[in-house]
Amino acid sequence: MTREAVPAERVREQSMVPYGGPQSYYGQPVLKEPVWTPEVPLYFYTGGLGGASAGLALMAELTGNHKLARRAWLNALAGVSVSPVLLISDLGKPSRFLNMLRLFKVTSPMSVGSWILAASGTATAAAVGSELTGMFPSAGRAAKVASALLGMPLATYTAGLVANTSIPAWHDARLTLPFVFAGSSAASAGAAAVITTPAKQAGPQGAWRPAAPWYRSLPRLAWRRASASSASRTGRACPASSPAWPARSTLRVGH
Amino acid sequence: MSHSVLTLDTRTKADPRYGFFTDTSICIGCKACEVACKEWNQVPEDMQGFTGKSYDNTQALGANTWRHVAFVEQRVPVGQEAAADDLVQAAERANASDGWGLDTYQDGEGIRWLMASDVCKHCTTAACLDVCPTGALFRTEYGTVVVQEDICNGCGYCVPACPFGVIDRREGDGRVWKCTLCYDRLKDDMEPACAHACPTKSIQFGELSELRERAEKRVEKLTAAGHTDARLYGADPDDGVDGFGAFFLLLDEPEVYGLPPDPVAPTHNVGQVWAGVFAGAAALGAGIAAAVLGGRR
Repeated sequence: MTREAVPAERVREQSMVPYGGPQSYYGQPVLKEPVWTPEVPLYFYTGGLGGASAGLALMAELTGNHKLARRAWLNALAGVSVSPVLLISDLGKPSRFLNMLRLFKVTSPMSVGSWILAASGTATAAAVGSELTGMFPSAGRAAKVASALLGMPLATYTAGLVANTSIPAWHDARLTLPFVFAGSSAASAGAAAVITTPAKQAGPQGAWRPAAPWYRSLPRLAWRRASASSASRTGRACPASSPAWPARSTLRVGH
Repeated sequence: MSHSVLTLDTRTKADPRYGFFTDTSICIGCKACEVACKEWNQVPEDMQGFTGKSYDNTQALGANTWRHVAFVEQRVPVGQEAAADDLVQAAERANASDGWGLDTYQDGEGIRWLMASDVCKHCTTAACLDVCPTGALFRTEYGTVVVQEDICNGCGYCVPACPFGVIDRREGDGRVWKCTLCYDRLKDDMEPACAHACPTKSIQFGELSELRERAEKRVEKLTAAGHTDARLYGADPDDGVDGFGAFFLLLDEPEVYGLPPDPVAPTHNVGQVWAGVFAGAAALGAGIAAAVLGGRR
């Protein structure tokens, strides 16, 4: 091949300045990979489920939905009971798990979290014990409030735990990650409550009925539109309208 | 210096504080430090084999490697003459070099060898120590950071907390291990094994304030002799970890040696971490309350 046959763009020019990009030591990472086993992310789920379920249980109980409250308390107990087992099995020296409670150290979310989990587990067990047996009702009520209050940071401290490391993606997300964990905990608790509670009691209950804002009637409008059009085809009557809904004449449904 | 109030009392107040000054410009890559460290501390064997990464078959610091000699091969202009602007400057530097014995062991024919013995930095604000939930990691009376092996329960939190990737969990043992700066030898008024074994005094042990002064002078001399890349790494008490207890003289960017250019202890931001956690917890509570109350029909 002659020199002229080489396309101009393929002739590599010699660099006149030193390489300015990031350098590394044989491409090796600077940081160590976390040694945590899959039990730890699984615990993020069970801890979040337990904590948020306790909050849901207390709120359901305060609004008189006792069936939902009972199921949510049991979900909370399941979550906070499985959590320590998962965490202890992840330890390099599981027999030394009690060393987690040697100190209370605010620079270590794992230390604070161990105390939160221990307190939350105790409170939830007491709350469920009182709920199921009916014994010590006033102590049980205090335990329920404590369990629900501790459940909130129980669900979100794990985000702070991973954020308080040198892993850039986690550390940089320190102000937003707890909200992601809060959202996923709420979803987990809601899903567990839906699975374990009869459909009738799974929704919000109670006598108090605030005026429905306009946007909340949108799903019903869609339902009315669908059933009205099917009624016009089948000749069945529309469901009774409610005063909270807009007048039918403004909707032009069924035509 | 920006300290979080939540960092509590884990920063060193040792006076005098002891540490290492590792002058990589006179490291010959003999790995005597690695061997002495393993022998004295009875550190188990690591990977055995050939990595193809120059003479480095140890690769990185870890549970079973507390001193690690890095080998970097660079095809760059070398020597005092190459860096000089004119012949007079080159001659001056050659004189300076002869008079002070400033030649580095890295200069060769058209290739530059960088050798550096890496070690735990024994940070002033040590993230591993701050996040340790059991108190197994503690600050000694010499200002160093040491793991108490009878306390560590192997939670592994210090591993991703360290901004240098130094500490690691030992397989089959379950606990974390790292350089102790030969705590046991210091107790008996002996210098650490690696410094004792170093044949070129690349690894120097002593009072940190005195080591810093010595290092400053060494950089001045190297710079005067044309090694304009010479710089101290970790000698600044105002950096992200508030200064290292074991700092270095490097001849290139820290990244080239596998060191982070701007290490920051994550626990400096622990206040923000907790703010996020409790804001998230409050949001969760508000969300549940809204779902139960506001969702009624």
